[in-house]
Amino acid sequence: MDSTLAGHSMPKFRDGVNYAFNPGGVEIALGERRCTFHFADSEGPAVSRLFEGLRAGGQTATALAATANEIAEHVPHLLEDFDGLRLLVESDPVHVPWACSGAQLYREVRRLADRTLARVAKSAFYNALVDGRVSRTQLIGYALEYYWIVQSAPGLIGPALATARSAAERTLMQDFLRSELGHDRFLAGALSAVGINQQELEHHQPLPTTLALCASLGVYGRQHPLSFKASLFLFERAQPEFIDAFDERCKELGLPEAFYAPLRAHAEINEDYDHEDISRSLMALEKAIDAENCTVVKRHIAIMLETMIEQEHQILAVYGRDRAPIPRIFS
Amino acid sequence: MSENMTLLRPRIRAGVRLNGADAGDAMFGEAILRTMARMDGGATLDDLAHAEPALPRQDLVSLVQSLDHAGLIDDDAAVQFYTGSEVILELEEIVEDHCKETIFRNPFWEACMAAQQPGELPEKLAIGMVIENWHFLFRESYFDAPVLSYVANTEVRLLLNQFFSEEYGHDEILMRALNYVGLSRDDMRDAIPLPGTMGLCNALAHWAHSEPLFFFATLGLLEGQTMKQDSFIDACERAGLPDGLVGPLKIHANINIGKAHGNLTRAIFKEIPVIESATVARLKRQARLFVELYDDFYTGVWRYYTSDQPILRRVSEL
Repeated sequence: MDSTLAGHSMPKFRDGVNYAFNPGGVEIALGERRCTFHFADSEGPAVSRLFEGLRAGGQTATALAATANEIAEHVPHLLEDFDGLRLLVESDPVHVPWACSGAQLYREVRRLADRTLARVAKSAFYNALVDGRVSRTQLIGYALEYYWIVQSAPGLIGPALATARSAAERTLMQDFLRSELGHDRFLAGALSAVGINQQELEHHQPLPTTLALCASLGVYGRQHPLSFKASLFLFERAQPEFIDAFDERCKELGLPEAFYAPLRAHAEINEDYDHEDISRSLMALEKAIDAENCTVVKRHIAIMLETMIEQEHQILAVYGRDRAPIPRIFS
Repeated sequence: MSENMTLLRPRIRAGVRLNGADAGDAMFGEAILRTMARMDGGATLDDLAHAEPALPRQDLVSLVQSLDHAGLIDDDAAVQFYTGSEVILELEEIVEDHCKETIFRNPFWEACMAAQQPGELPEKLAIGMVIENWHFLFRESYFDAPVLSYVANTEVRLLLNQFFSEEYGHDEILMRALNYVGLSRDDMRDAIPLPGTMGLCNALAHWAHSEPLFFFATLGLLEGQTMKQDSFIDACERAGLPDGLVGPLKIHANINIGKAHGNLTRAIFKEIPVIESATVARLKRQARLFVELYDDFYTGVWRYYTSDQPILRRVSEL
């Protein structure tokens, strides 16, 4: 780490800094704080040029020293002292930052999600459902992976509550968490209708993509709350066509209504609570986001979507194998 | 959705074409089309309303929201924010003002400043300070670890990783001073920090987890920003405390000064380009609380190690 204060590439006097030249010295004031430094009469014009440069900003320390060549050797030390006294800010246009509102970033996120999904046309699982290619095991496998996400959800959302910044954000997050509680019991009932008991559910190991989705959401909740907020809509998208096709295929294969009805009911709960809007509402509370964070969010959303697409392929592949263990319990 | 969530300067996205359609009421339809044509990112909602008085405000808001939900418009309104390098200067001023009322008047520091001659700083108090400092450094990963993964800013993450690599193992330097006064590693594993010490550690860990920007702001004071020398070590030396106790403290302090750890907060905030105003206000609000916690740490050291209590609080003796 540098042994001096982190200097500015183009230092400028902070707003509120005033100075007055007196014979042999200059008094600098910022609010109630005042300091004075003295110089020889012959150095007065150079000090004056330095101060004018610092008032205007937009010059490097080297350029400032050149304009005040009579005191050039003292300029670096003076700037260090001024920085220590909290008199300087950065004025390099390269460092002048740009910011985006959360609402605007979310618009861009939705668009990139639409573009990504459009590239894969329809979901692999949906196509297989409609084509009548999904087996009983694959339907149950889908429900198992869905269960795993739902049972993980409160634990993934919970830590994010600690990062809520305002009453509005806390309310949104708490209501969202509350609306997710107990759904695992709901889906466990569905799975018991096809002979999977609670102990088996506890021992079930999710597919790698399912774990990756849950882990990603949970890690963003702890490490990058903005990505967490922007990702939630991906888990809450209403997919009525998918649910219809799922029901239809279950009926064709003679699966009990007690299996597929709770899955539909759960999807409809999400619609009723307008869960998909949770990301929009949370992001609207973010007033200014820098460029790097916008990039980080978009990267995370793109990966999340790719993983979701891959998850469908994985469900079809793994639960489509002959004698695939279901649930996935490994000793 | 309320109006305050409506776009401030809506702009119809490139590629969206406006065509007239049968909207029932031809005049209303034309007003809608004209309004949409004005959505170029320059006009505010008020401008749009003013330009088309026949279009009720409620319908204008509804139009903007519907276009937004359909993904057809962006918002070109300028976003208000502060830079990290501006914000840290204001935070430093607040912390400094609070320190003048608290830490700078703390009995521990008054005792250090008053010590001019051998014997004027109680040895037990000095050892106690080393013990509590050791507890703090021993737990540094509690509060540094959450920010080592700081996803929000690459440069800040690199600075923090460098800082942690330079800080790692400093508890071992202080262990040499503790060994000199007869406290072993096993003794310290059995030891209980003072509540003020543990409170400070866990408060920092809490901020590191849930409010990292504020945690970064605390590092300047904790690491002795602008400090050219360590007032506690100076007091120990004036009071003639043995080199076996003071020497390791000097090694530790010189590493921090040499590596400019006091500058870390400034270096971090220089890399943070955008902080929204609500965050600035929140950071400022918490500054006093942090100074109070730090002041309580010194008060705890002063009270306990000037009392008749044993030098080490032990789990095995609970």
